[in-house]
Amino acid sequence: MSRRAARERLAAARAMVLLVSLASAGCAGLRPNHPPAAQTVQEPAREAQPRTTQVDTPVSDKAVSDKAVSDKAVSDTAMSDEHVGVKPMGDAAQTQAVATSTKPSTAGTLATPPCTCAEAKPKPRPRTKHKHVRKAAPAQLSTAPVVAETAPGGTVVAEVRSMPVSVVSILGKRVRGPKGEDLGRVVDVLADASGRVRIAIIDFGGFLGVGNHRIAVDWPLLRFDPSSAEAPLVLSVNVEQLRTAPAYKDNPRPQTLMEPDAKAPPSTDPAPEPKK
Amino acid sequence: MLEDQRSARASLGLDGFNLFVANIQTGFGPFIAVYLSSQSWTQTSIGLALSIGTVSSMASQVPAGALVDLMPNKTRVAAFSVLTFMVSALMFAIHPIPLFVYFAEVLHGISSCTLSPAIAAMSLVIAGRFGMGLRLGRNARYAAIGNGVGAALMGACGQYVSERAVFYLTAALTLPALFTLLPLRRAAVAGAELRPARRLPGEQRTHYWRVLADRRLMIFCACAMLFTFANAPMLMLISGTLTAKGTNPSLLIAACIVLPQIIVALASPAVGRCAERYGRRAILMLGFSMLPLRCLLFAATQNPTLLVAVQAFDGIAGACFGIMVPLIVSDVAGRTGHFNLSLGAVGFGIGIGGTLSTPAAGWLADHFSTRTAFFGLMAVGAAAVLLVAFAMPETRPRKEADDAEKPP
Repeated sequence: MSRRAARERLAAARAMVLLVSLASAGCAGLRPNHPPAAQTVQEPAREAQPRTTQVDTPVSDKAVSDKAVSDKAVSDTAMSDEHVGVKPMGDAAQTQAVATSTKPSTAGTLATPPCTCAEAKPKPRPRTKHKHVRKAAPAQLSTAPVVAETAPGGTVVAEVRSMPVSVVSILGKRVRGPKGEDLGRVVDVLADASGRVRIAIIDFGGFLGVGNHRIAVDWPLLRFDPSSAEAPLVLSVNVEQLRTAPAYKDNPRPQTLMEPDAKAPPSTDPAPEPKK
Repeated sequence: MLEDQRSARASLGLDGFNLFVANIQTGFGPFIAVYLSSQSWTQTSIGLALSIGTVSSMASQVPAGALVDLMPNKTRVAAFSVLTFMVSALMFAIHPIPLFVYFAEVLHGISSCTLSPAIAAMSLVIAGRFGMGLRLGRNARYAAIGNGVGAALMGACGQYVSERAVFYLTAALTLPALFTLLPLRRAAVAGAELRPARRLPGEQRTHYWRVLADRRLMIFCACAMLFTFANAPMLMLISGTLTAKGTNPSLLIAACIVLPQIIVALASPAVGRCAERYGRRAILMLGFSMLPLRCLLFAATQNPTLLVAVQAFDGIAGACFGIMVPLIVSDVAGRTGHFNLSLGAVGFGIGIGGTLSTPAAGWLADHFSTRTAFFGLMAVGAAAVLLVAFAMPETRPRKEADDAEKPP
């Protein structure tokens, strides 16, 4: 019981810290579109562990000595909205990912920070005076992509460089089927607690805006054309499946069109997915 | 005779104006959401833009009606509204940044509210109070043709050219609309002495509160609100079913939009005539009772072809409702000096019904089933029918009054 209470307090504390950090991040994450230009403000990534520790401090003092419980609390925080009895769409990353718990604004109350998934380069942070440092935390962070984020109440030294790879804007991008048929547009992109993109919301069908159908599609189902930034994305599913898929509902674990096992990493192989 | 020629040309001009305005309004429909998605807008911003449009049109209904009452030249109001449409379409097309889009939504919302009373007022000037039913039948016919043609044109444009081109097309269509106003300008000046807003040339206006508190107007407003509440989400629910069941959903949805317009175009003049012959209540009953019938049939079938066919009833309901709104308001308030204000008040009720119902029906469909939503809407539609049957008085002006009031 006290653990539950502690977890709730932890959740509240984390939410506060995230709000503060978002506020201090300014409006960078609130722009409707990120231009696909090469110039990107890249924060030197740092391990998120000190920030987590900062939040955990009051709790780990008192009730939660067990690391596993603490980790669960953190990942629960990310999914703290009510669970609506749908198929959970997570895999291993969901329980491991503790780097950050931001979510896209459509799935919760927080906006996504600019998701510059930089390589984890542990640079020394300006302020590292924390009394309680949890042991063994960095080890598990190495598996999850680290999202650069401004520390609560502080800034990191950012620098402007060209993006080493070319990038494309996703919002509004056309989606076509394997035979070139028009399947609609990407209207939203959802990331999981670790900041990894998991779902594309595709606006499908309709006529003049009447009868559109928004469908959540597992990110690996979308194929990118590396040769052209203008090329539409290719979604290798049967139109029939897209048509009968349930409409996307704004909840933390949406019903998602995905491969049967849904563990496959994104591949560039344009082979059609197995049907049904 | 010069006078007859003028009024015939004015009548034709008004036909054309209705047609082009309906064309233009198609461009400002739900298609905006598709266009903004294609411009990398987030769902949140799109929702905000559409809400701004809804709120500004709701808020300006009544004030815009009052404003049009005060303007002596309704043709000028109509021309100005159409020009505003052009500006707002161009803002969408040229530079869809949030500030412009929000501003364009506000402009469009307000000018829609000045345009429809202006059209009704011009109709009243051209046709007079006793030809109003016929005139409104013609208005509805040409508006339906405009809607159907506009949907086809803009659907093709969005599909084969680009989403942006739809808004250039919308802006371009304002030019012929302005052109059709030219003969009306003369008619409005010629008809200045039989201005419909006054009871008699020397008489004072009735106090606006007495007009708005008229029992007939209030009951009709409630009827219209209930009807719209039940009617507005139907297309959304049907197209959801069609998307899941049909083989070519986009085409079927297009058919669901265009078919009722064809029926409206065919039936409107007859509806207008019948309204003069058999009275308003009968037509209102006929139109409103289509709605529960439609709900029942939709709940009973899942066959895509049948779903589209049942939409024909929407055409009948649409023809009756579209003609009855300005007609009943002109019966009640036509000579009080507050015709447009009253029309705005009814428009406000209709707006409330339409705004509240889509989320309500969506909630029912999500949490229970589409069929439950249809039954819910059927109950509301039946309530509207009952309200007409038991509370709504006949508003058709009596023929004895004809000779006394008819202009010499």
